[in-house]
Amino acid sequence: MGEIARILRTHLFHGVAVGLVVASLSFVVVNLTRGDTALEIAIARHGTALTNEALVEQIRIEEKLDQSLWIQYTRWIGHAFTFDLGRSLVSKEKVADLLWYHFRHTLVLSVAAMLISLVIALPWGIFCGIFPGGSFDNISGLVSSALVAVPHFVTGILLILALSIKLQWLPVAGFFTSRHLILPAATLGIGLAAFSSRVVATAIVDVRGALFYQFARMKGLAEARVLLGHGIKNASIPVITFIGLQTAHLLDGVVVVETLFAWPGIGKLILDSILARDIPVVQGAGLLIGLMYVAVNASVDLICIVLDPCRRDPEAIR
Amino acid sequence: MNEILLNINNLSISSMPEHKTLVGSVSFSVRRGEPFTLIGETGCGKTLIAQALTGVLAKDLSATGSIEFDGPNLVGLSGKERRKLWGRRMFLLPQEPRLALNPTMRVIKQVSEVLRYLRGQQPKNALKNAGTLISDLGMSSSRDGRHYPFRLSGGMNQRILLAIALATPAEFIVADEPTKGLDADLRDSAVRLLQNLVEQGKTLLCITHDLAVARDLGGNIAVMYGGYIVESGPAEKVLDSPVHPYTQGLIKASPENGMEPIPEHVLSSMKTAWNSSGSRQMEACL
Repeated sequence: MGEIARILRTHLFHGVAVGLVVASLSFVVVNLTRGDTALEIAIARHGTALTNEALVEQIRIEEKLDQSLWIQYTRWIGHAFTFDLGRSLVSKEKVADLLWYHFRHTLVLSVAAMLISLVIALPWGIFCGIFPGGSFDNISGLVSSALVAVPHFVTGILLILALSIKLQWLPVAGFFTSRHLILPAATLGIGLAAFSSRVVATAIVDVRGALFYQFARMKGLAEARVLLGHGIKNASIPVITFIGLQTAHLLDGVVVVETLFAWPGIGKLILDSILARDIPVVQGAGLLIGLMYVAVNASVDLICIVLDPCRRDPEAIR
Repeated sequence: MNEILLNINNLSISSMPEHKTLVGSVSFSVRRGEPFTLIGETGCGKTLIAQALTGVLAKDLSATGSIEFDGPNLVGLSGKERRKLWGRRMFLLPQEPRLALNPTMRVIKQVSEVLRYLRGQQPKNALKNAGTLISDLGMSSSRDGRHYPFRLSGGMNQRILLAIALATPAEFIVADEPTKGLDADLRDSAVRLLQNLVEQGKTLLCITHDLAVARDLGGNIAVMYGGYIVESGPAEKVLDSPVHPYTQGLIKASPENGMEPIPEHVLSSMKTAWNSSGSRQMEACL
């Protein structure tokens, strides 16, 4: 499969390029932030009461913050390429370990959110696609526009109010049992579902209008057979491409949702690290998210290649 | 068994809000197991007849008259009742083979699913029999059959459509412009494939603008112009000694005969005749 190798090669190249850009940008952004980094670290480590000038100077030398930015930058890039992300300035833990711990939680949350969104969006979108322009489809369009427009923190707070505080079905926040996963995952999943259901509906309308779909009916196949055999696979190609793009939306959402629900994922790690001026962690997390995008794009391309035979051999398309 | 499979009587097709007649009062009948060719220029209404016949007429068009298919009248049949005929009793071969085939399904599967779901064959047998149908049409079932439509040429995709037509239990096949966009060699082989359909016992209604196709298929033909049948009869008779001036013009206009344009006075005289008979449909063609 030459095409698969080509895709992997392209995305590997993208990964390196994105890594370099993201590593540089996160370094620049962190260093553009106003205030004395050494002072902030001293406060984060020892508290405001114990922080004095001698301590701040000691930290500045220990963490090599007194060196020129250029030297700090080359050191960071060099280490990043050997996957040595350094240690947290605050907790002194290895950044790679911190990232892995939080990344696992984000992964669980994202996958759960994605599953919830698919469980809602697929039947919803397919139904709208089969009866386009009907009253259900029209109302769905309104509802999904409204849901897309509502920010995550509003959805989240409403869900907490309704399901945790009023009905007391689910815990408000934390990450101890799988029940803790439901609210944050639903908060993200509902927003995603609103968008995906429209994409699914459009894909179904398109495929049902295709000549081959009409022809499958003419062959005498039952309507369900036509949808299963000739509709779903063809409609899933644009849907999967879109879901890949949506993962970007998801990574935006996790910062808010993880903070709201005290979910120890990568989004919460970034926010906490930014507040604590934990430069290596912020930079490492930025890099990880950048590489995540590349990985998601690569997976989408690979899935589409499996689904769509045309893409396996692009030169054969006239 | 009834010898006439299809009997079309005074079939008119008009566009709905404007009540503009597109096909006016067409009558012909097709005998079981024989080919019938409807011939005419683009826009003369022959495809509309095929659509009315198979029940895929656009929503804003309406048909009146009768289409008796093995007895019952199809005009006014509900979509559901139409659907029961598709693939089982009648089958429409579409104009564009590549677009008619599912781009993400191997072509052999597109043949075998018909055997599987309409003839109740086991998946394995269906696949094997589909392979036989494909190789009978001069393709390799193991190589070409495993391809997706985009890897096959237009002619090969058309053979796959014919294999599907043969796989269905449908006895009546409507072929809409089966030679459209094909060069002379491919056209000849397409005609042979259609003849093959007839040899296998199917009744064929072929819709074409190509006189050579009509001649090679034989059987009866009807020449259409402007939504009306101007002349009909056995192919040989109509094509060798045409009576109607339009048919004479059409034959002279074919590439073999020097592509002489149909004389303007022939067309205008027909237009006057029909206008006086109260039809306003000629604009569709002119």
